[in-house]
Amino acid sequence: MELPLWLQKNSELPTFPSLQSSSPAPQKAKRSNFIQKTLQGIVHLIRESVYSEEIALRPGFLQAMDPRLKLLAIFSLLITVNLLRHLPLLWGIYLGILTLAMLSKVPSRFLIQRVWFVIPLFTGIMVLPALFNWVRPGDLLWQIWTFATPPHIGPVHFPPELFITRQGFWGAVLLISRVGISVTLAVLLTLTTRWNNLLRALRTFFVPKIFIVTLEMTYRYIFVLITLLEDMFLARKARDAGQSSGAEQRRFVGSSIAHLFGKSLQMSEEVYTSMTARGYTGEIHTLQHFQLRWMDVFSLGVSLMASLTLYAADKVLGG
Amino acid sequence: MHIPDGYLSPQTNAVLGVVSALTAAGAAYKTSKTVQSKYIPLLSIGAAFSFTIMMFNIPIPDGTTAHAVGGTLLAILLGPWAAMIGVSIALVIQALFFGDGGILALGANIFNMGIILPLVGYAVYRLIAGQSAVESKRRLIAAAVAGYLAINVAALVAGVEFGLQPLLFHSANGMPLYSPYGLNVALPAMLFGHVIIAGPVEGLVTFLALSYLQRNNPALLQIMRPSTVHSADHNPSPRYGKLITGILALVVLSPLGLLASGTAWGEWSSEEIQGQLGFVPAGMQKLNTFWDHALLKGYGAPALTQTFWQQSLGYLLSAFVGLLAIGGTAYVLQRLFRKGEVRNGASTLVAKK
Repeated sequence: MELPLWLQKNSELPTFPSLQSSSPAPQKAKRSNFIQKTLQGIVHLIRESVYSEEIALRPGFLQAMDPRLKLLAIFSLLITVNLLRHLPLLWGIYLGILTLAMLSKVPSRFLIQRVWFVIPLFTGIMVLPALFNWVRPGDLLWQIWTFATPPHIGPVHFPPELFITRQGFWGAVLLISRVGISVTLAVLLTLTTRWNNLLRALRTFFVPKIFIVTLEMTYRYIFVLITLLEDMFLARKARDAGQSSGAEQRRFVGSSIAHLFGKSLQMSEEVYTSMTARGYTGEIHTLQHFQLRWMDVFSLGVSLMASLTLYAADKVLGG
Repeated sequence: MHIPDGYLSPQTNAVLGVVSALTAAGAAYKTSKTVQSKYIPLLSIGAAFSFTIMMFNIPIPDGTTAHAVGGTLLAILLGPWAAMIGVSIALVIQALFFGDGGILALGANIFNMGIILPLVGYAVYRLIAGQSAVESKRRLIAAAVAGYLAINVAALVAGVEFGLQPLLFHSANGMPLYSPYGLNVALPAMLFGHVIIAGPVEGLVTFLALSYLQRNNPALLQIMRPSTVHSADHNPSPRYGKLITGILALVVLSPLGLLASGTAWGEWSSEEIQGQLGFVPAGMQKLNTFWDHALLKGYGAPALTQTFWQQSLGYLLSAFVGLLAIGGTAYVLQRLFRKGEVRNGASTLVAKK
């Protein structure tokens, strides 16, 4: 869905001389662009789900795999990635993941960009302070600065040398690798599995039916509600000349949330009555027709073995 | 507050996952008792609503925007149990389909945002609102305070989870394996952002939504009258037998994972690991020199005392190779005997050429 051009720009705030006397700050330096941001979020979400559904329909290795076993396999790999303590083993898994992505016709450039342009930034900023010996003491790796007198902020005294610690550096590399590879695995699962198959696969793993059916319905209604939200915000945007104060904007958000709740409730009533009309009595029946192939069992076996082997190798390497 | 995978250890995730699963089962049972057969559509749309609340960008005074979680609002409108399920399902969908928060970390995220937050929010709201009328100002104040406090308590719990990681999981030389900050850093860092920004936003959104409903649709505020019915039997219905069994199995198995946690192993290895290279391939040795481990000190004398993990690595490697060989052979034979067979599965529409 593309916004029409005249809606993509935020209207300039016209300066009325009469207004300037009443308000002390006529030009707010930063106008919060919350309508635009919300709309972009909606467009992005819908585009993403359509795209992943499109990839899930391609003929590929992972797409053909039974979703139950695929879920197990990816889950075991995820646990392994989060248990390993040696970078080479972690990156070995990553190579395997990229190979799988290629076999599954997932554009690997997309996969790499999507993960490694975002993760190091967020996680990197978070772990940055932990590199230095002032935050976490450790062994010297790179000297940065030596102060003549030990610096202090108020009552807190720091050691005279500021350096990057070995533990801090490798810990940060490990954390960033771990997060990135975990996200890649999750993305791969999402991209190669149609959502209704994924939900059905969950049903075989001790997840009560109620949850699955609720999940399935939720996924459908998210899009219904998001379309409602989009209509509300588009309507607001079309009428908003950039004159509303922050308080009024917040009031609008509060009201639209409450209004959305009212609409949701009404909708759930309607859905319930239509379900009842079609014979729903509280019992849930689902169609399930998965076919196991030897290839699936084999793939699951390989991934489980790989997980165990890597874990044992990690233990042998020690550290 | 969505914790991605990699920040928390799998052991932490497992424990929180079990707690979350049990609570969710309890919540589902409670809800099914209170809302009867209507509850599936109600919960589904409640969850979808909870997901949509997280899509809203809320303008804040400094010109930027923030997000609300909406757990408190949902708890006030639908009761704490339904809110738990609503937010939990929204979180599951965010993790599985939109990559928001980790899959392994789902247990932790559900615990923080889907259990603690609605519970605290509801408790605070009921405490302040008391028996006041539906249209009273007191309820609005209660809603704002509840929203503010609930998200801060949830942030506090998340901060504790982060802060425990470096204490419990680090390698022998003190390298943190997961989130590197201790409690003294993690708690203030988590709380700062929530006390200053996210808390007020959550309180405000809860307040505004409730005041709108008071003005325009007070009937909606009376869906969940605090029920005086206390069901005497707290036995979960047989529907959850499978779930309970599964969780029990997890509970039994999780100590095994804890036994093999990083610290115990790390302490052991620095002493004993010298000269245990009976099985380590050459490539790994190179990596170890690169790593500057103490591994290579005793190299040259093949170890007679093999550790449990070395033996298992040997077995596993041979089994792994065997499995690959069998699979490869089977695949080649299949190819020879059945040429160009179209798989049923992903692409049944592809015509045979």
